[in-house]
Amino acid sequence: MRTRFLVTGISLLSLWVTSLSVSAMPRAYVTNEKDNTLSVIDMNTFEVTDTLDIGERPRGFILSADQSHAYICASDSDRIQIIDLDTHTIVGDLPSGEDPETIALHPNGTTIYTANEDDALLTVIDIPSSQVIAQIDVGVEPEGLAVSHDGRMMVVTSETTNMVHWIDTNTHENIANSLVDARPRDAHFTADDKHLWVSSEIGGTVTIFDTQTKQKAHTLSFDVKGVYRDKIQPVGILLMRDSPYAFVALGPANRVAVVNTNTFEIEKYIVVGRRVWQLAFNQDQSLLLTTNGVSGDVSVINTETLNVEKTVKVGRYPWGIAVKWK
Amino acid sequence: MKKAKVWIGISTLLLSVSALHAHVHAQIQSGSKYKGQAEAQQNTTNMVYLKLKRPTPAGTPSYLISPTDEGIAGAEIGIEDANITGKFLGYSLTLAHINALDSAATDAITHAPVVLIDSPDAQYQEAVRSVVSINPSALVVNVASGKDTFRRMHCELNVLHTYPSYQMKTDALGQWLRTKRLSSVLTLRGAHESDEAYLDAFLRTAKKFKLNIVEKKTWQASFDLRRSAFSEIPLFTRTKKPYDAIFAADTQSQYAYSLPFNTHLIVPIMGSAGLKPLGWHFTHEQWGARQLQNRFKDKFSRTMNEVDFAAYAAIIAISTALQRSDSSDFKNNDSQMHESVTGTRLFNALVEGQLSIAAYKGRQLTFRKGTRQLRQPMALAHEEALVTHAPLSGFLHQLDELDTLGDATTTCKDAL
Repeated sequence: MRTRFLVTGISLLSLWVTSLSVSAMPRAYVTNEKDNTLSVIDMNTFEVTDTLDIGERPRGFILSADQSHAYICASDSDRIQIIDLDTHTIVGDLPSGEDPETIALHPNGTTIYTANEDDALLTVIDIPSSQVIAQIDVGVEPEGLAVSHDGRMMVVTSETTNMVHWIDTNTHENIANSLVDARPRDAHFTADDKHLWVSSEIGGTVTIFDTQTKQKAHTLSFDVKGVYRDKIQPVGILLMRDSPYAFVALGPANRVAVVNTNTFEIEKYIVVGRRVWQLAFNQDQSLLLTTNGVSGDVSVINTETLNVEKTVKVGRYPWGIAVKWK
Repeated sequence: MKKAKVWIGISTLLLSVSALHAHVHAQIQSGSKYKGQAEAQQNTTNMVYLKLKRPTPAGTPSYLISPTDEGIAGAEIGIEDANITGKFLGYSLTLAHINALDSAATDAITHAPVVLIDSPDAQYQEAVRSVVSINPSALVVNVASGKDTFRRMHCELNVLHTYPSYQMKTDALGQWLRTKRLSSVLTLRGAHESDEAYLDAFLRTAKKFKLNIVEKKTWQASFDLRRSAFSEIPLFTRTKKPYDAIFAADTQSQYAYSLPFNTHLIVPIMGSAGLKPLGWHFTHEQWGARQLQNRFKDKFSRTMNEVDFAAYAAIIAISTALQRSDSSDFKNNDSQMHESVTGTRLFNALVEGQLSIAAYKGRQLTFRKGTRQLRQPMALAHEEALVTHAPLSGFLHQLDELDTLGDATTTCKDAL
C-alpha cells in the first residue's frame, strides 16, 4: 500500500516535472498517423520536446477555443480524444461515430463537426454534454470540413462522391450539393465568408465558390516546372487573415503554392518535404508549418520571405497540425 | 465559357433537388448506423455482370482457386459508392448477375445499357458477340481478361477494358528489370493459350526494353508438382547460359507457385509468381485506398483483388459519366446523362470525351482512344507487400507517363 503511494507520488512528481518542461510557448502539435503519437514542437527552438502516445491512426487535430485542450481524431480507435494541453494527458473522449478523420469547431466553441469516413456521415457533437446532436448523410468518404466565420454555414467535402455538401448549421440540413473535381480534400472560407476554397487532390485544382450563390467563381490549376501534372495534388489550404495570400499544399509535388487572393495568380512554389499535406499558422501568421507525410517532417516557412527556415523531424506520416500560443 | 455554362446548369439542378435529400437524424446513439433513403425521383440505370465459369484444371492447389464472387464483389462495392453519389444527383445503378447466356440473361441484357464481361479467354469473343446481338448499343466492359489481341478487336463496338492488358503488366516488369539492371531473362510458360498470350506480351516488352531472353521453356502440366518440386524445378530451370531473372506465365496456377527458392539459379521470379504486376493489391493504401480496402473487407470477409478492382473501376467510370453532361452528342443540352442513358453515350463520354475518373490510384484515369484500355498505374507486389507502382521514375512518354505501360497506339484496327 505504502509502496503504491510512493509510486503514485513519484509519478505525480514526474508528471509535474514533465509539464514544467513542456510549458514553453508557443508549441506546435503534430499527429503521426503511422506511429499513433503526437509530436510536440517548441516553436522557439523548433525542437521536438515530447512525443505522446495517443489513439490509433491519429489524423485530424484541432485546438479548443481557449487552447487549453485539443481534439484528436483517432480514426482506428473510433473516437475523438480530448487532450489536456497543460498536462499532456488524455482526459476523455467524444462520441464520434466510426472512423473519424477530420474535425472542425463551430465559432461558438461548443459544437464540433467530424467526418466519419467509412460511413459517409457528418456527425455533429455538443462538447459540454458530450452528445451527438445530429448525423447528416453525405457522400462517400467525407473529408474536408469548414465552418464559416459567422457560424451560419458549414461544408463537408466527399472524396469519392466529388462533392461539396453545404449544411445549414442551425437546422443541420443539407441545403445544396456542388460537384467539384476529383477527390476534394480541404475546404476553407475566406475571412469575410464571401468565398469558399476547396482543393481537389486528383483533379489537381482548387475551386473557389461564391458562398451566396454557391456557384463556381474561379478555378486554380497549378503548373510546376519539371513535375508531371498528375503529381500536383492540392490538399491543405490556408488563407491569411490580413494579407491577400493563400497557401496550397501540393502533395507529391513536394511544394506549397503561394496564391495571391486578389488576382488568383500563383506567385511562388515553395519546395518543402515529401508529400506535403496539412498546414498551420502561428499566432501572428509570420510562420507557416507544413506536415510532410512521406519524409516524416515539418517544414517551417517564413510567410514574409516565403523561404523554408527549418525542417523538424517528427514521427511517421505526420498528418494534422495546430499551433498553441495561449 | 461552355464549361462554365454546363456547370451552372448542373448546380442549378442541384440546388433545386438538394432540399429533398437533406437527412437529419437527431439524437442518434453512438455506434448506430444510419442508412439514407432517397425520396427524390431517381433515374435507374441497369447493369449486368456476366460471369462465365472458369474451368479449374485438375491439380490446381485449392488455395489458389479464385473466390467465387471475384469481380462481382468489386462491382457491388462500386454500386454502393455510386448510389451514395447518385442519391444527391438523382440517379441509381442496379446490377444483375448472370452466369450463362440463357433466356433470362437475354431479358436482362436487353434492358441494360452496360454489361460487364468476366469470361475465360476462350469464350470472350463469343460473349461479346452475344451481348451486342441482344443489345447492339450496349457498353461492354471487359473486367477480367488481359489478352492484348482483345484490345485490337470489336473496334466498331462500344467495348472498354478496365482489367489491365498483359502488355501493361509486362511493361511494368520491364521497367523494374531495367531499373534493377537485370537484363538476361529465362521465360517459362504453361500449356494454356492464355499463358502464351501473357508470354507474347513479355517478349514484346523484352524487345522494347532490350532485355536478353536466355531461353524459352514450356511446362507440360503432366503431374502434380507439390511433392516433387524440390527435385523437378531445378531441372526444369537449368539452362546453358546464366540468367538474372525468370518470367513465368502461368495463368492457370499449374506450376509457377513452386518456382521461388527452387530454381536452378536462385534469381527473382516474376509474372504469375514472386513479383506480380497487378491492377490492384490488397496492401495498397495510398490515396484513400485503405478506405476502399476496409469497406471491401468488412463486406466480403476477404481481400480485394485485381478483378474486383477492374469491376469497381468500371462501375465508377459509368457513375462518373452519368454525372456529367455529354458534350459530344448533346452540344446544346446541359442535362446530365443519367436522364437518358445509352451505352453509346457512355462510351462517347469516356473515350471521345476523355472523361477522367478517380479510383484510388493517385492519378486521373482515362481510356485510351485506340485500344479503349483504362490507363492506370500497375502495382508491383509480392504476397506480403506492395513493392511500388509502375510507371517507375525515369520512363518517359511524350504525352502521358501512364502510356509507358502497354499498347498506347491510337488505332484499334491494326494487327498487334
